[in-house]
Amino acid sequence: MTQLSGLDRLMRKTMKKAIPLSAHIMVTDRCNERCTHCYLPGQSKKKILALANYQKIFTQLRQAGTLLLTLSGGEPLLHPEFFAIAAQARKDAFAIRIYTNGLLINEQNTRKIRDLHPIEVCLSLYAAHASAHDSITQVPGSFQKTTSAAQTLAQAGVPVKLKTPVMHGNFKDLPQIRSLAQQIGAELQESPYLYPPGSNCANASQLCLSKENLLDFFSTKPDSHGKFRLQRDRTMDVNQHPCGAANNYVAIGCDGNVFPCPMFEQPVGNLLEESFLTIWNQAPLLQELRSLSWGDIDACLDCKLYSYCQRCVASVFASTGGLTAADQQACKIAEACAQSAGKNV
Amino acid sequence: MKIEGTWILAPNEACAHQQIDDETVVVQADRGTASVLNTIGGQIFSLCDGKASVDEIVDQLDLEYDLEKSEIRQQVEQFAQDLMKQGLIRRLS
Repeated sequence: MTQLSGLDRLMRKTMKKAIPLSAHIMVTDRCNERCTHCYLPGQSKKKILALANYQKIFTQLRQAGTLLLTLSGGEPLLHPEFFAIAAQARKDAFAIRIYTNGLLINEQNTRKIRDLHPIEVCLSLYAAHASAHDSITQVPGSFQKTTSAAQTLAQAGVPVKLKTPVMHGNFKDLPQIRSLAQQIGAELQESPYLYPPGSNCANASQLCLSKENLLDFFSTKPDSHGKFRLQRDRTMDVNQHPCGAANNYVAIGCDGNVFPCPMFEQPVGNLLEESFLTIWNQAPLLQELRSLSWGDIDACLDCKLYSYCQRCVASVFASTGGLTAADQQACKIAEACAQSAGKNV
Repeated sequence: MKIEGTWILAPNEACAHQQIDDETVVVQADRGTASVLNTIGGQIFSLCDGKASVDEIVDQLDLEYDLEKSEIRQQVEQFAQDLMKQGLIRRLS
């Protein structure tokens, strides 16, 4: 029996053999917030899958090798059968993670979530003050509800992670956000990378941090930026896949559409029409992504920033229609990260 | 702790698991850890399904492996002890 070293090896194996270890399930695209930076399109009237659909889908995902289901939205708790779907996932022996804004989390729902044994519940926190947070979500009172939900869940013993996309509007709040997360007993994940804009967000470039702010961000609390820092010394393997999407990661929309990852807007099939494995094995875009390696990305070959890079293929696809261009946002962030680490780039 | 042949074992409530090729990965949500079991370990884990007794698990493996039954029993009991210590399985009855 091995512990985490075995898990690292398993991650590499699932990437190499295209086993969808992790699936992101967007159970609804309805949301009770209207976040200014959100990559999802605005309200739609898509028909949502019911528990009976998920029972079949989960069986197919088990057979395909999926272990982790991230239950997301929109706001997943707006799905009328959310807890039944989550319970089915656990009954089928999946590990689950829940992405929520916390607005619908009360004591009763906290008990239900605790009894599901999620590996973590992730809540988006945009600021340390109500006025700033609520101005981003565009829902008055959302700060109070989100922080209260995080606290209630943490007190119930549920692992809580606060996720903060670091933007122009909340950058100065970061020290207070860090203190608040500590008070709540939650892990904090900060990222200056904003995922590609959907039709709901046409101003991502205005929301992103300036180069000066990025340098500040990486120099204020270096240890907290592990996602960027930990890979500082990695060297490029030109045969390696640049992204887990279509390799060991997949996303499923509320109407059964399958996507390479939640940030891709182009569906590659629908689970009401075809089996998961048919789509996973045969969809041209998934095959194209699977055949992509770092060696195919001319713009990134020999790049000194590779060690700091969090290139997002969905972002590249959204902005260029192809898969092999450089990711300008990732370049900008990597440059600041490298400079703050004292690298001459 | 001696594992009895009549015991019925099941995965811990907080565990999730999946077989990947010939290995089984078990995630413990309450501890934030993951373990990877080899072929035989994964097989024993999957037989701890809340239905079969330890005796029945031994009988099942006896059909598949060319070993003395007493040796199989010893290995099953030892491994079940390890799994229980690590919180991956629990005794149902």
